[in-house]
Amino acid sequence: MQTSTQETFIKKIPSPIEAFKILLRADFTVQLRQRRSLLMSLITPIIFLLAWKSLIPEIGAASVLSICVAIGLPGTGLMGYSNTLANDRERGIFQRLRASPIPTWVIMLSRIIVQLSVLILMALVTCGVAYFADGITFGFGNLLLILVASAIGGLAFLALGQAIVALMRSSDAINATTRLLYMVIAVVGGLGQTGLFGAVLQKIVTYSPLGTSKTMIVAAMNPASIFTWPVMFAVVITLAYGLFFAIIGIRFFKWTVN
Amino acid sequence: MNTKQEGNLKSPVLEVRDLHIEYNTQVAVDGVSFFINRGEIFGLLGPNGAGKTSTLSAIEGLLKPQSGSVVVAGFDINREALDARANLGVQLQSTSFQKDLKVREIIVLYAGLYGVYLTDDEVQKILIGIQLQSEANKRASQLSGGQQQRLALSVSTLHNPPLVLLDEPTTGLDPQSRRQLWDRIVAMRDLGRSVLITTHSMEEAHAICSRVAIIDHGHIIETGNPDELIEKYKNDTLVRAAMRLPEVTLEDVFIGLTGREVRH
Repeated sequence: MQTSTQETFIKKIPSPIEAFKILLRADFTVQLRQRRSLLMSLITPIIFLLAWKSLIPEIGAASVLSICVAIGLPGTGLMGYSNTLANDRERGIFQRLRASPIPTWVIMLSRIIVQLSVLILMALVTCGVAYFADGITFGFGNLLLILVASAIGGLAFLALGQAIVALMRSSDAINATTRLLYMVIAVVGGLGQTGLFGAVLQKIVTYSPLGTSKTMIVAAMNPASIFTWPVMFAVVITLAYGLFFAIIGIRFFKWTVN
Repeated sequence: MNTKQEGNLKSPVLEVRDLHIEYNTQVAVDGVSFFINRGEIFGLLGPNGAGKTSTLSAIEGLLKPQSGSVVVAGFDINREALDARANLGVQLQSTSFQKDLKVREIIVLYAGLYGVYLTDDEVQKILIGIQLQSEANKRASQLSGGQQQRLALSVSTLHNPPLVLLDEPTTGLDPQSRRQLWDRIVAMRDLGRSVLITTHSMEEAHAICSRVAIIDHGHIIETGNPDELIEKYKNDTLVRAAMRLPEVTLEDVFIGLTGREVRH
């Protein structure tokens, strides 16, 4: 029941969907204007792809493409997302948004959708380069499955990025941590799967978010293998990683650095 | 105007009751209570670490107090957060806009988040009103400090809120920009809005506030009209010891009440 004071002051509150659309448009605009960051997200897996062309006869086209796409996922999901979150938090942008009459999930979902779109674009561009420059062939159905697998893997890395921002306050510390983590993921994860660093590390890497993402992408190029237990296990593990990091990322996230 | 509306006009637009905020075991705000009437500019004054920002964060709903209540335009900020925030205009200490958005886009974005959908002509009118029509397509980060504050103040009132919170709005501005901002704040009051302002400038508080509250160590130690406070404390020993001019100023009263010790 409204009090007389409320009746006098009552204001229109936008529906969450309306607010989401408005914020999503703004977040996409910001992302498109950050060209250097966007370019880095797209170019990193392509560099790996071109550099590893000679590995195709040895480990197979599907493996090379899947590793390259998988390496691109933490580039955007971990580094890009967490650093944007940390910087915006430090500049008070989240505080300003939270002071407006919109639910907090709208603010976060909009950010995640934008980063997920970048991840899918990265996977699409990498597949395009693989097809035309490296001669790795796959059908349209395979491409769609690769994008779905990339999105699932990307969500795990986005959640990891969210968890890091939740556990650390300083944007400098977050930047340094995610860079270091990315280096480890790209080098150890990327090469570890080839068995270069031994069987134990190969096993560990296989069940890391990078490894499970790679498994899903390889399966996307060979749909007959999708419903085999290693692939289903990879999907479940990736979702579990995402859920685990998301719980940390939501539970401990602070909207301000103060 | 009917009797009911007259009655509503007399009810406070903000009521803060017995607010208590702790960080871990450290008490930041302890039993703070005050109210703001319609058409009133209310200054919350205090040294660094006195509890101003915590109080303001609780009013904005960004921080949940351990106890006490904040009611904005009749809506409890914790139980009816979205309704309360819809009645609140906020300008934070930093201007806090996305640096890659253009001035025009910032206005459209924040208006939309408050359910106000502006046409191009309406945006243009707003830009003219804040003298930023030539900067419409510039990014917020390219504006000068004064321009950013004018934009932030305008954005905080796009939805015509009855209460506007201004957190140190004139910090870092040159005297011309500061005076211009004062005029804009007074104009907001003349339109019937209430304003809660925090500032370290006692000159500013004296110039524009109808009432001020002096807060220190989490407690409000005095509330009143600036001239009345000067009159009340003009013969106080500590206040007189703080005097630097022949006449007692609000700053002398402030230092007399909160002490000379530098806060960090």
